[in-house]
Parts: sequence; structure tokens; C-alpha cells
Amino acid sequence: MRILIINITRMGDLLQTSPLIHGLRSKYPSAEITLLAQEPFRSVCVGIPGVDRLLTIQAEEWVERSEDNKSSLEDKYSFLRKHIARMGTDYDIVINLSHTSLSGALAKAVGGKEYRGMVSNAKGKSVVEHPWMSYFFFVTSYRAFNDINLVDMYNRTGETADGGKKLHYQIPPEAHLQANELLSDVEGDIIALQLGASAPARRWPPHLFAQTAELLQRKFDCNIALLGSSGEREYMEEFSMYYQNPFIDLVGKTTVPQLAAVLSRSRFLITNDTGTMHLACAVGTPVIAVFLAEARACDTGPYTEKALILEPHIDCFPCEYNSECKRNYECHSYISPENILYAVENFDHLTNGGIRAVPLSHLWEKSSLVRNIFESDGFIRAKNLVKRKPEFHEAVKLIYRQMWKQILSGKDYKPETSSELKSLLITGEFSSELDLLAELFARIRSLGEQGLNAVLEIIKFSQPENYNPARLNFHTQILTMLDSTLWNYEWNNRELIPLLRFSRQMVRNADPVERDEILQVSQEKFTFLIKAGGILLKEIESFA
Amino acid sequence: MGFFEENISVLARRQPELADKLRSHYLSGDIERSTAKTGLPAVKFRGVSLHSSYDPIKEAEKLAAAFDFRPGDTVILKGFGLGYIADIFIGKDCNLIACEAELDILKTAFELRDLRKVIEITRFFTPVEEIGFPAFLRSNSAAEYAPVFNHAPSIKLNPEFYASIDIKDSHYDFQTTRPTPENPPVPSVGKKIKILLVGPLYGGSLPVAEYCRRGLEQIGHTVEYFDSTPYYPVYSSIENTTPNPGHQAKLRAYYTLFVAQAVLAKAMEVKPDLVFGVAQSPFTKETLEDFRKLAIPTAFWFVEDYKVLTYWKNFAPLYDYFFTIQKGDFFRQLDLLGAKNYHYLPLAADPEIHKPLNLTPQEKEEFGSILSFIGAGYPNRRLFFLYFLKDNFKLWGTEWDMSSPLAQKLQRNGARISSEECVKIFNAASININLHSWMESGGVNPEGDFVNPRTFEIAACGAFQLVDNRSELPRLFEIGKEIITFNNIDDFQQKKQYYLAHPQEMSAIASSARLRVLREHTYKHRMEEMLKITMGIEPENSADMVIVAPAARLSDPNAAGNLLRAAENDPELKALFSAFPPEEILDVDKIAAYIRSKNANITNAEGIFLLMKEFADWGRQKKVIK
Repeated sequence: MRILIINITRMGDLLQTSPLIHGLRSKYPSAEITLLAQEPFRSVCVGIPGVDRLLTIQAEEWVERSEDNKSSLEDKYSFLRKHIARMGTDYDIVINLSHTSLSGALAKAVGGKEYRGMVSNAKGKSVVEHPWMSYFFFVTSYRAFNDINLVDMYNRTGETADGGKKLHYQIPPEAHLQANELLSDVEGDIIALQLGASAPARRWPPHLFAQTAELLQRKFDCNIALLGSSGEREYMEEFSMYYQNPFIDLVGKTTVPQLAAVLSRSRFLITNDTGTMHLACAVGTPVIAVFLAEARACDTGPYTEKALILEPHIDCFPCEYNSECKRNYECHSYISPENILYAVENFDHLTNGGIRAVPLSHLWEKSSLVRNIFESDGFIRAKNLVKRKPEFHEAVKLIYRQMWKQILSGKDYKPETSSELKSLLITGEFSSELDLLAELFARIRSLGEQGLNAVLEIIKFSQPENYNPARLNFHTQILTMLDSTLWNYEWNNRELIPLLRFSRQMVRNADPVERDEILQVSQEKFTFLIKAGGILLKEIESFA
Repeated sequence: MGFFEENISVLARRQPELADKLRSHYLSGDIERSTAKTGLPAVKFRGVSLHSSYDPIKEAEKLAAAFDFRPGDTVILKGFGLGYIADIFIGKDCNLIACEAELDILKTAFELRDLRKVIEITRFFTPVEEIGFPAFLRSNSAAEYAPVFNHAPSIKLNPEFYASIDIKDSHYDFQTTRPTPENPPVPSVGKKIKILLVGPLYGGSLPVAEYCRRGLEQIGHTVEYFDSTPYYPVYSSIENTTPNPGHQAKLRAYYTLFVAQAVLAKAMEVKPDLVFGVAQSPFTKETLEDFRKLAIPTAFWFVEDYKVLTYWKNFAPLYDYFFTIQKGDFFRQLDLLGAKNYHYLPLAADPEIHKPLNLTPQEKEEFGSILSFIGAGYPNRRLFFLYFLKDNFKLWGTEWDMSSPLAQKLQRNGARISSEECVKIFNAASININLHSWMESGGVNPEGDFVNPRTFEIAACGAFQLVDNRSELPRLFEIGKEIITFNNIDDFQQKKQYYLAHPQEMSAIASSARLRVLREHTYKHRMEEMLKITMGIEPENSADMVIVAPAARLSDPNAAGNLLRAAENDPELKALFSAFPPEEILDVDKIAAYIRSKNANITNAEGIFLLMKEFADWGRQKKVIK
């Protein structure tokens, strides 16, 4: 068995791939597992256990070659061909976890017997293989009702539930020594801060970090260490304008292994949603993370129970991807240094269930506090601890969560009834909303049945022995009508979007051309609607 | 038996295909060998003696004495038998065309007699020959009225075969040998020919046939038009004759064969140089084979979407030339069918019909609107047009759902609109919506390739249109300058707003589009192209246009020709580069666009180019961000 995993993204995503590799390793102990990543992240990759062979691409060089006007097409072609050949062939499974069409073209060029994730199809168009990867791509376009962590999607794409319930990274021994050297003057606990983030909208302001450091330092008499890459020094400088005490400056001074070693020596990491956060999870350091803008704990939160996440309680959260903030990052101030202090002070009780809920006080008026729990089926779940009147939206998320787990995992998955959903529905007094939702799901299921029936009739009446153009015409019209009816439902009912948009994505992804292909994918689409609609309905009925 | 290999080796030099056929031919039980009294070989075939059982040579001499021929003649033998008659012509400075209906007899003759000298002067015409006898004669430069020797026993055995090669009674008198893809026509400039144009039985291709007729006549060719429409009422009544679909299909097949036979009769009467039809023109397998025998080349323009109408699968390889409005995957499927005769020929406009009009105020009132669309209610349109309910929008055409809110925009209750009125509507609209039909309700077909007639027609009217993006469009019009495209409803709305606010730009684009059509996209242009491919006829005015590729282009390493040469050892690369004209300078974008437009399974080499394109795009994006 030869498995290739392609992840040409960044540090955080690579670390989030580590449970999948762990799971594949235990599922196929003798398999050869190859990881293909970008050269700049080599040091992250070598620390991920279970990888037999690491391949890297120098994307910059490849880009330069591909668009350089001086070398001839023949040279460019030979260059790429040579590098692709170096990556080997005969992969049994190629799992592409990146989401660009470039990675799909790369997966196709290397080649494999089975693909999961994005891949160029036989006509050069990007398509997505495997149900969980389809869901992953769907969620990037609409995630309002998503409640499944990216790492769990990756794991299930490997068809393994055994991700080890954590991220994995092995710190090389010399990195510990180097970290000791960097911290040779330091005595006592370290609380590490990671000020940077991938985008301004996701960066909690340095002055708030400074106030937090002030509070923590005063309360615990601890050392404050600033982490990050050399490109993030400007935030440190801003921080130092507000924070008057001495601190340990490691910004731009550590390699990834050294950073991991420093983290492993730290009491806490307080951070934005960053690669450093995922690294801390992997080495077992308790994490307190501020999630802003597009980042949500339930999508890409730290994959560990030893974490608390703060999110702003604001109606526009989370932002849509690639949208511009019209409110001047108002939400940044919704998270206060006092929130973080509370999380640090009560970390153990909050994460082990000693404190089951946090009362809604002035402190939590504008923010949410989220902890992670691994459920018995191996999925992690981000649970809000602040006691608020539940929103119906929360219930819908949970209903969908159960449905996706069942429908995407296939036969091997057994759902459990969620007591959380039950209590949410009771305290929220959602009976009328729930009735309406049940009606909608029932409607979609019945439209699915009509559609499936029409497809089967078309197949039947196309057979030479039953050939009947009038009937064919009739059922084709039914399909057309159903399409626009479903479209209308999707437009008018937000709660139906996951169901219906996913079904449309199925069709688009299958890229049908021939009549038979169209019929087949329509059959799959309507079967999905019947099955998914049925599960959703059953979920609701079990609480009715 | 010792003679067969010797005879066949002589034949193999002259008629290799026939030699192969004879080698592999198995004798049936119909042939019976015997020996004449003089000891020479003789045979009976199905009980009929082919030669004298006493002395075959003497018999042949007697028969030949009564036969009038001169040295230098090419003599036609109707019936070869064992070749005793043919022996007479050895050393007489004659050539023979020997017709023999039975391979059994010919093979036996080759086995029993030393025919090497005969074979040296003979061409054999047998039923295995693919072309008809007149063409066979011409290809052997035989005189039209060659002396014919009738061998009675042979004719008695196969009267039909020998009657079919009866020259004196032949209707067919063709000037040229039949051009085929294997036997390409000799180029000639401005030659005028006679074309039998076969109109369709029904459907949207009727006007196309009419436009083709005018185009051909404008070039100066003689067009005989076979009007199929009088035959349509019977065809359409089949549906009411029986509810049994199997019977209906059978009846339609019989009837189509009948109409096709009428086309054949017409062809025999007018003796065309070329038979040309468009989609839904009545041709059948049988008549196409007949045209082949008659040495009349056939060409067919399939002006339909191959994914929607699929009957081409049964017929495409039977035509000598099959013209399509799509490429890519269609070509691949034609390849799979073994068709080698296909050519791309996009649709066009007829500037005599599609032209700018000065409309009266009443006409402007009747036909005019801000947004306008003429066409049938396909699923994608039914949905897309719902966005225009609040607009000044007129919808014309058939197959619309009267219960839909769109019904309020529908003109004349969905009646069919004549070509003349279409032109008025195109002229009267501020923006003509041109959304290609699609069987899905998704608006713009992301895989749309060919360009519909409406695009050319609106352009020829000098009217403004917004057309959905089609992969073939950039080759036909310059996007942004001659035509404006949209990808989805948001894109449409945005462009609608923009152009309504900039009427001068609209009219500039519309006039550029009209000029482009007049320059390149009329049916006259298309017919010239078609005749160039089928008959080798170059348009008169293009003879003095000499296209010279600049030397710089040929020395560029990225010229397709140079890349092709460099790829000598890589069949995948060779196939890819040979798709471009040798002087075209290629880059990664052009290659990727071509690979995607083929819409066919990609090879490994093509996969590498698509990857190269992805990296190049990535690099460009990064630059933009920087």
C-alpha cells in the first residue's frame, strides 16, 4: 500500500493533518506514507510522526519557471516533467487536503489509483473526490451551520477514526537544548503570547495583549514570552509601548522545532488562530485562543481538550470569507483582557468539566467562552460555556452535525442521541420553529422521492422495449420543475441551504455530460435528499 | 494448382487489395472442376458450364472472331471465366477491363491456369471494389464507349451485376473523379460546379439550408435544391397512425428511406458534382452507399448540438465530409466511431436577411423593448429570465410555460416568430439577450462550446447583444470589443446597467460586430470553406492573398512547428502541438485553453501543461497582490 498525502498549505494545516497520518499508520501499519508539502515547511513536516517519505516542492521556483518568458516551453515542460517523475508513481491512494486547483492538477499529474480531495478529472477540470472532502469544500462556501472540526473531516477522509485525539509533533532533542539556551536566564512559569495572525481582521490588538500580560504578570508573577516570526516584530514593538515590564523576546528568533520546545516549557499559550496555536496543541501546552473574523472554534479550533477559545458575541460573527469589515473591527474589543484572565485562572475546572457553565455576567456580555470535548465516536465538539438563551441556529447546527456524520461516514457510523441538543431545544422553547423545520425537511424528502421516481421512469422508458417518448418528455419536465422548486426552497429557507446546496454541488462536481451520466448523478442527488431529509426528520422527531 | 502464387504475385503489383482478397477468399461448394476433352481445365458454377467441355480455346477463338476491336483499344470483358477469352487479347496491344461477379471463379482461374500475361494487361472489376464502375473506368483511363465483350454464361449466372455495369445505358456521366478524404481534391481557383442541396424535412435547420443556397449562388455555383418539406406532412402523420413507438420508428425509417430514394432520383437527373445536406436532411445508410457507388461526393453540415441530437452516431462516418459546429469531445467521439471525415464549420449570418433596418414608429412600438429575447423556453432560460420580471422585457418564441410569471412578458402567446420579424426585433431592442439553450436550470452552461446562429444574426443586424460565455466565441469575435459576454446573472445585471448608461459604447460594439460578420462570418464564407475542403475550390478573391509567416515567427522556439519538431520522440506532445498551425507562437495559456476546450480525456503531457498553467496563474496572482 502506497499513500500520498498532498498538503501544500501552511504550518497550521500541516499539523492538522497529523492525526490523519496517525490514523492511516495504525490502519495500514505496513503502508508507505508519503507527504508532499512546500519546502519552506519542511521543518514542520519532519516532526510529524508516521511519515515515511517527505517530498517538497519549491513553489517559488516552479512558479518562476512556469511564467518565465525566457525559457522555451520545451524547457519548462521538461523541468516540470522531471520533478513530477521524481515524486514517484503507483500510489494506491492520493489524498489531497489542499483546496486549490493547482493542488488538483498536481495530484493528477503525480497520479494514483484512487483520489480523495481535489483532483483534475480526465478533462482537466477540478473535481472533489470522497464524501468528506466534498463536505470540506462545501463548508468553505457555506459554513453557517457547520459544527465539525476540519481535523475530523481530514480523519474521516482517511476513513479512520483513530486520530489519537490530538495533533502530533515530535520535538527533536537538540531543539530542547537550544530552547534551554534561549531561556537560560528564565526562572519560573512562562506564559507565551503569539501576537501575529494571518490577516489584520484576525489579529487581536497588541495593546489588549499588553493589558492581558500586565494582569497575568501581576496575578501570577510569571514570565511573559513573545513568540512569532521575524515578520511579526512590528506587533511586538507596539506591544512594548503598552507593556512596561521586561519580557522574553523570541519573535523571529526560533526555528519551528525550537518554537515547539519553548511552547512545551510554557505554562500557557495565549494566541490568535495561528500555526503556533496548533503547534502548542501538538506538544500538549494549554491554549487560550482568540478567534475573530472568519475563524471559528467549531471549524478550525484547536484540536485538543486542553484549550479554551474566546469568540466575540456579535451578530456578524463569523465574517464571510473575503469580505471587508464595515464595522471597523468592532468585535476586536469584544474580547477583554479580563476574559482571558478568567480563562487562565479557571482553566482546569473549565476544561475538565468542573465548571459546566459560566453565568452570563457583565464579563461575558460581549463574548463567548468555548471548550472542546471529544465525543465517544471520536469527533471533537466545541461547546459554548456561557449561559445564554439558546438560539435556534445552534439547534439546527447540532441537528445537521448528526446528519452529516451519518451520511458521510457510511455504514460504519452509529449516531448517538445528543443530550445537549435536547436541553437546548427545551430551554430555547423552539417547538414552533422545530415544527416548521420538520415540515421543510419532510417536503425536501418528498421532492427527493418524486425526483428519484422521475429518474427511474426515464431510465425505464428509455429502454428499447419500453420506449415511450411521451412519458420521457413528461418525466423530464418533472425534473426541470423539481430543480426550480428546490432552488426556490434554497433561496427562501436558510436552514435548507446545507442540504440543497450540497446536493447541487454533487451534480456540479460529477460534471455530467452524457445523458446516462446526468441520470446517474441525478439519481444520486435525489437519493441523498431522501436519505439526508429522512435523517434530519428523525432527529427532530426524536425530540418532539 | 501450381499457378496461384505466380498469378497472384503479378496481380499484387497491379491491384494489391484484390490480391489480398483473393488470397484470403475461401471457395464455396458452388464451383465444380472438370477437364475438357482436350485436357484443358474447365469448370461448372452452380451447374452452369463456363466454357466448352470439348475445346475451350477453340471456342474462345470462334467467339472473338465475331468481335470488333482494334489494336490500342481498351476492351471490357463482361465475365472473365477461366480467362480463355482474355488470352485472345495477348499481344494485340490491347488493355482489358475484366469484370467478374464471382470471386470463386476468379480464384479458381488463378489456381488452374497460368494467367500472368493476361494479368499484365488486365484490370479486374469485382464486387469487392468500393467505387462504382464508371469511376473505376475513369480511374483506369478507359474510353467512355469501350468495346464490350459479353461472356454469356457469366451474365446468365449474375445478370444484375453485369447489368449494373452496362455502360451504354448508364445515366452517369461525371466529369471529375470523386474526391474523398483519402483522395483529396486538386485545388483549383474559382471553379464553378453544380451542387444538389438537400433541404431538411423539418426543424430549425430549414433557414440554414436556405442561407446556404444563397451563399452558394452568390459564389456563382449552380444549386439544385431538393425541397423536402412537401414530404413532411406524411412523416409527421406517422405519430397519429399508431401509438406503438416501435412501429412508429419503423415507419419513419421506411419513409425516410423513401424520401432519400427521391433525393437519389433527383441526383441521377441533375448529375451534381456534390450532394450537400444540413441537419435533418433525409439521407439513409442505403442512399449514402448508393452515392458512393455513383461516385458523387456527399457532405453534411450537422448544425446541431451533438449532445442533444445523437443520430449522428449512425451516420457521421458514412458521409464523405461531415461538418460540425463543435469540436473537442465531439471530435473525440467521432474518432471513436472511426470517422475521419469531420471538419469544424461554425454557424454564420446572411447579410441579405440579417441587416440594420429603419423601423417605423409603429414597428418600434410593437417590437421594441429594453431587454428582448427570441427563442424556445429551455430550462435554463425559464429560470434566468425570472430576474427580468421587473424590467422592460419582451419575450418572444415558443415552448414557454404559460403558468410561469414569465407569461406576462411573453409576446403573441408564444407563437412562432418569422425570420423577418426576428430581424425587426433584433433591431428594435436596446439589449438582445442571447442565452444559449441548456437542458439544466442553471442559467449559463459552464461547459457551453458552440456559438448559436442568433449570435451572428444579431451581430449582422448591427444590434447590441449580451451573450453567455462560450468556449468557441473568442475565436469568432473579439470579446470586449466586438461582443460582450456574461458568466452569470450578476455579471449580466452589472453589464446591462453599464451599457444602458453608455449607449455610445453599445453602438460602437454593435457596429464592430457587424463588420466582423461581414468580413468573416456569412454563409457565403462558410460555403467557400466547405467547397475548399470538399472540392478543393479556392475562392477567387483569395488567390491573390499570399500569407507569409514572418521569418521571426518560424525561428521562435515556441512556434508550434518548432515545438513539434523538438517533440519528435514523444507521441503525446506531438499530438498536442500538431493541433496548432506551425507558425503560431504558443504559450502556456494558449495550450491550456486548447486542452480545456477539447473537453476530452487529458494525456499525461497535457496534465503537465495544465499544472504549468496553474503555477503560472499562481505567480501572477502573487504579483498582483504584491
